[in-house]
Amino acid sequence: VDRTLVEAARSGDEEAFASIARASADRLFAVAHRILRDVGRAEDAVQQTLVTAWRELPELREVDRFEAWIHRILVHACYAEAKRARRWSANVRVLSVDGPATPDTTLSVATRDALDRGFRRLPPEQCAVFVLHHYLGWPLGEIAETLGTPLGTIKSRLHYATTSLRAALEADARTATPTSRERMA
Amino acid sequence: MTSNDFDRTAQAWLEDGPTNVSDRVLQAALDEVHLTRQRRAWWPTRRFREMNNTSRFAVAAAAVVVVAVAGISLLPGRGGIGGQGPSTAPTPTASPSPISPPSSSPLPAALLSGPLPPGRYSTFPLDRPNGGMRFTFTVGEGWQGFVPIGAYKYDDRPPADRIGVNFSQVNGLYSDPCLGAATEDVAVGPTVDDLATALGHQSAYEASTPVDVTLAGYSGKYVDLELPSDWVTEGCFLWGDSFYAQGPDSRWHLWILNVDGVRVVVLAWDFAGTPPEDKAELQAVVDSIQIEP
Repeated sequence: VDRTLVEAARSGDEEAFASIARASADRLFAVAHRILRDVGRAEDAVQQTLVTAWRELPELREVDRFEAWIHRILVHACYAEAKRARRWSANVRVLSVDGPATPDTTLSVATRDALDRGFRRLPPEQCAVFVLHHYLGWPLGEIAETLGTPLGTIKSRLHYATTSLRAALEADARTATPTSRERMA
Repeated sequence: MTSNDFDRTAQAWLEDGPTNVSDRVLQAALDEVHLTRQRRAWWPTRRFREMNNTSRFAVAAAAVVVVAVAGISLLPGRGGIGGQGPSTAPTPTASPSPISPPSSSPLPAALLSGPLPPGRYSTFPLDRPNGGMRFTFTVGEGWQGFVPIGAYKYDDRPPADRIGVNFSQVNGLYSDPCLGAATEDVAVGPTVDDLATALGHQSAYEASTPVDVTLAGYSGKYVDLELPSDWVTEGCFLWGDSFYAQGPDSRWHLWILNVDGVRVVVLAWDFAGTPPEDKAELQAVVDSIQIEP
């Protein structure tokens, strides 16, 4: 993001912020969707992130840290969305409409399903670390700094997320094997 | 599967998915930005560095208190639907409203998560395809916003005294309130009557007989819900520090409205033990609601 735009927006220039939002929204949405696995909730998280970023921007002292700063806001918005989803859905469910996704043909349907199921069982804090590391390619130290969380905690979250997802894949493989044998028999 | 294999699989899986946000969402955000005042920078860059240790500790302690209060405010009440029995109709209060008059600003402020100064607020809580619908309402002292779905008054009060108001769009129901992590398993048709009827057919909680109602100029049905008093949350799935399964002692009051063909639900919740003045305040918030389709 252009540093001059950030400085202008920080000083209250709404047009400058709109330019930043247009440049950032897709990336923020992509990350939010990976964390939340739901288009509607990812959209809500992005919307909340942009409004919060605008409101809090004068407090950003290091303009060069804008990218990390807004991703931190996004991750917290995702936490709130995840908690809201689980609390509010106890008795009712907010309508969500999943948008089209482009299937990745390099993964089997079973693998994607297993990862989807496993991922949905993870706490949002583990989901966020997993996505920031594997999707954005951020080193764990950068994640820790961005989220303001100790490095050991970030490592722990990634470890548990990875262990859970590997277990989901292995469980899926185990259940798939007898089915194949049955078919062969 | 080796670690490298897993990493490659995970990365391929994460690449799979949408990457473009809709123009509608971006525009809605910018509309909300237009209504949102920027926070003034009150914290000089070097101030914290120049503080002595005592001052730093005091500031840090204050920050912890704020976070703790905000965290509590996001926790659900112990109960969700319950109380002393569903009423048959909404009961507008005759008490003077404890709510402060709306802000002198001609525009409501955009709802934000966290403590809300008394005033009038606006939110866009509905997911696609009806994201443009705006709800505005007025709150008094002690309320917390929870973007985008509503506001709550927790203060330091015990859980059974808490009150709140939510706006949403209900697509289905759960036969077991403990199963919030799963897909809703009770299909509900698209009309106001469909939802009111479906609520009445559930066995996990008691529902009052739906009655005709008008709120914010839109007609619909009003229903009270309550869980049995012996409801226990033990065995329900836990998420972090929150129960999302509902417990005893709280009531949900639902206005199921038809807003230009879109079914929306205004939910006001309180508890059996909520003081009358707080119930009156909650009713006053409901009475202040305006809906722009």
